[in-house]
Amino acid sequence: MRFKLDQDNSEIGFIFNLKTYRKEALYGAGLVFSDRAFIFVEPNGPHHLRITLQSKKPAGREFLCALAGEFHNELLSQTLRWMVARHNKKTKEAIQAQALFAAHAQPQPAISNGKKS
Amino acid sequence: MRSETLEIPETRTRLPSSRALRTLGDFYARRLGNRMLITNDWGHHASLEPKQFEDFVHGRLKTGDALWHELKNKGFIKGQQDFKALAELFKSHNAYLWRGPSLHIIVLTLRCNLKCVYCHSSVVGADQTQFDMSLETARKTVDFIFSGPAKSFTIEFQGGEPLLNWPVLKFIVEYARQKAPITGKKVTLTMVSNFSLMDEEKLDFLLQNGVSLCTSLDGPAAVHDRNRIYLGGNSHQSVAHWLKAVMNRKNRAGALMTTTRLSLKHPREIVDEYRRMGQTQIFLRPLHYLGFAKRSWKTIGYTDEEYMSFYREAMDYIISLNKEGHTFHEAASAMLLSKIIKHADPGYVDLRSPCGATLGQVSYNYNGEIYTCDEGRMVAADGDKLFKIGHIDEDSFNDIVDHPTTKACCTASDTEGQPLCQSCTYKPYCGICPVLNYATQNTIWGQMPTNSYCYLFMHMFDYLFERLAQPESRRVLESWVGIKDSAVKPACLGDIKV
Repeated sequence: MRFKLDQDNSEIGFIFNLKTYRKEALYGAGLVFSDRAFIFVEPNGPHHLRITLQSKKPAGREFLCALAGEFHNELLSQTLRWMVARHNKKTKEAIQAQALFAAHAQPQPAISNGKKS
Repeated sequence: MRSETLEIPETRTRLPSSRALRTLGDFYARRLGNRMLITNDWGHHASLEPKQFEDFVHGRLKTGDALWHELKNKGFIKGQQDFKALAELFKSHNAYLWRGPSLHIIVLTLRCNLKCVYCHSSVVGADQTQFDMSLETARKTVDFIFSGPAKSFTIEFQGGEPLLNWPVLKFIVEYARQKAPITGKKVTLTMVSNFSLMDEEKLDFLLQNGVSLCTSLDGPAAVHDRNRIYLGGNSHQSVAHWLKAVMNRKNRAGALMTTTRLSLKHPREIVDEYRRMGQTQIFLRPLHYLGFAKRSWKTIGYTDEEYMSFYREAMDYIISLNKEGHTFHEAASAMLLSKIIKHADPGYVDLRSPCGATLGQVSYNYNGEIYTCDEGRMVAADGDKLFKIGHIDEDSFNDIVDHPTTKACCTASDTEGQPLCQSCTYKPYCGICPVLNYATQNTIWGQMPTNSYCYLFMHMFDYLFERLAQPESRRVLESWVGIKDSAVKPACLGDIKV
């Protein structure tokens, strides 16, 4: 993976290959990093996207390189998570639905103190 | 530049044949010492010698052999599973999925008269009464709790120091006791207190009303008093005094131990102190990266490896005491063992899938704010209300269950959806804490390879399964969950020496 640092070390960019990672992984990683960086996504040919990470805080070269490295780890993590979620979808849904269902209070008639029933 | 050549031993890895695969039920495997541990989603486990494991994987076990029978009965042999019995077993050790929230933590005040070096609750000074729960909020909180689905539940008084808001504590005890028979619900009351403000009258009231008592005891005075600083007196002395007073009334108060860097060198002394105080168990707990502990981590914190070394030494000592005929156990391990060997849900909200956030426990702050759990409230005390799911004045019970944060925690803590967890040998017994993930790794999902919570439980399970493979230690651990003598000796144990 090649990274491109801009001259004043305020952002770092790379090309995202849609054949290597799923787009869902990019959205997931983008969300995880949204507290640390602005994430810009631009088209770059039919199978590639240009991603730019711009640090929200003043950053140096080292920080930006680490940010890009961590972003790529997160891309892998998100890809794997997506695969696992898809593979175990039915089991997950059954368990979560049961847990949420059991936690619901029995339907109650409306009460007068302003609470919803 | 120096370089290192790694020599990789020659191994032959053969995949099971398609015929063998037809005999394998779903299972997880982990090498523990010189044995292979296998588990499955029904909650069964077996510890196999390498040859036994190879025979199992390649479908070479002889039908009718003792090991074949054991693995068949445990659901490891495909085509031979009794799904009705296995499903009952799954239901038994995952009973929480059918129960709804059964632990309700009420924070009566944020005030505290102690200055514990690791306080996870970020308490305020004892004079700041604006951080007390009002009677009106208390009444609404109890009504709210009773509107939940559980037929039987626990209300736990927390703080701060709950005894600082005695009138409200007393009110809740009486109101909940009065409300229980009317609603047909069973309520258990419990209080976690430092005991420094206890007196005879309060103790009488609490015991007469069936309030279980629990305090903190970090070990001998030299450790306890340095962790739990009481400017108005001696915190160890008051704990010792009131533990004894409770025992004199033919009752029993529990105690919780928090491990700081200072504790690491004293595992045996800490266990001995608990025994000296008449306790029959100790609950070894690591520090959480929350509240004051987060701020003073450099002084009181430690690595996961250091904690596990402490845990192992304390556990080895406790097991050796048991072998000498003393009755004493470690509570966290007993809860894990309950899942592993008794197939029972110990009601441990911190270790389940999905986690207990809202679905197993709910935390009510002094001001009526409702949180997924007490850890979620502790994160809020640091200024981040991500885990707030409602307010006692505005929301119904169904509102908090339907809250997006509840659903996010439920999804993030389902081990079926977590890479590594979903294929982990300990998945049938383990769980994920989205709040601690968030506090330590900035995401409720967490990243298990570098996750402290994962590391600690992984190694606790390793320790327990290692000991379960040793017949003498196994007998001790079984006694902790009420199993006197295993009716059937697992065939996989054979007569091996570990």
